[in-house]
Amino acid sequence: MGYEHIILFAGPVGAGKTTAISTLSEIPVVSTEAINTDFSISNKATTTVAMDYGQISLEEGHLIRLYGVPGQERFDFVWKLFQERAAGLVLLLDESAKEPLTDLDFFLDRFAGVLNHGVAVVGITRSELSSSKSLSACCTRLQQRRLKVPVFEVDARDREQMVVLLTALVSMVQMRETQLEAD
Amino acid sequence: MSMSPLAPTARFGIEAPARAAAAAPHQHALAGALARLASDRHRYAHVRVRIADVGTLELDFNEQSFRYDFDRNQLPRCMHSQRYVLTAILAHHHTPAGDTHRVGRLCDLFWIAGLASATDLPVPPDTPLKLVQWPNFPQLPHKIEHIQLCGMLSAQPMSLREIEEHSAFDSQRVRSFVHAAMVAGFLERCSETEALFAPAPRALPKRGLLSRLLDRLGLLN
Repeated sequence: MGYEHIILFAGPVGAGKTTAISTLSEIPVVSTEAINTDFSISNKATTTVAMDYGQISLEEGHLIRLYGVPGQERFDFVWKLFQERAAGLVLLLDESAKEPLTDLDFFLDRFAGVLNHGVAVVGITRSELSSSKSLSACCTRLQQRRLKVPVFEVDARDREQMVVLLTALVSMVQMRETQLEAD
Repeated sequence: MSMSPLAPTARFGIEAPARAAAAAPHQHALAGALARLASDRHRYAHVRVRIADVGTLELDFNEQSFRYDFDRNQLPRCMHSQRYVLTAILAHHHTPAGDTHRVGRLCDLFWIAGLASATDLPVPPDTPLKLVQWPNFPQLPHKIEHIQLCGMLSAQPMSLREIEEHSAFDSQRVRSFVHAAMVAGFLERCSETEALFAPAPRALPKRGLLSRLLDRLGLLN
């Protein structure tokens, strides 16, 4: 009998959550995209309104379930639904956003439930033209918050990069589970 | 011709011939010179590196950044170059590199240099080491074992001996990782207090979730 491991993808609208799950999933993503009517948040044509779902099946019945939650705060009831069961959190931040550090703090606070029993990794997207300033700033902020969370610059469309991010997260999930078993 | 390490007060640092001759061949390469610079990072503010047939690197220790005027993909390859000139630049002589230069984090440059240089570890094997920051793996050269070792070290500080004992990797691979991570500043020595309160080291499970995932992705060593 295998186990299910739930990985949550969170972050502001337009950070690349749906794309990241599509890149990693072995099945076509089950998506709940709807026409975006709130252009004050993002100029995307569509946006996720309930969740995205993808998966990676492993041997012996183990399954990694990838859930993407909507970025808008008005859907925060969805955020709460998954936190207790999630083993890990992928927080995607848009480098080109006005204040990525504010987004980092906001989502870390709202997903503290995952951090209490699980692990997290931050992925900074859309950083093609950057000088890694957001990366350094995020690392500093996480150290200030005493959180040991890896921060990576990723292109959510790039499978190799997303696999590295997922591998890092899963390596921490595994160590956390080993610790919990020993305790 | 390689010139390293830098004389502390000179604008042009030129290594004494006798010392250069005594050094092992790999120490002549740019990677070795940068690794030595990294261990002496408080000594200089700005260092310029001209690499023959490649371009120029400008290291800014105050900003913890570097600028370069060539394709980033050339960085790992040029670490093996022995045809470079290192120049320490005094603060009042320093003029910032132009806007055409690309910018990166100094720790990323030192990680690349650390991977390409000799693995002379500056720490005794029983000194506990803590992971202070993960390398930006998607943008840096790495092996899967580096991610696994970071995952292991994210749970607790470990000494080199413990890392070797609890990981499934041979000593040379572990030492290469520890050397690069220390050169880059991603791994640091633990204080005595931190070591005292650290959880007991845990081994990488032989057949855990990670190995199943790597197997599924075709990345298992």
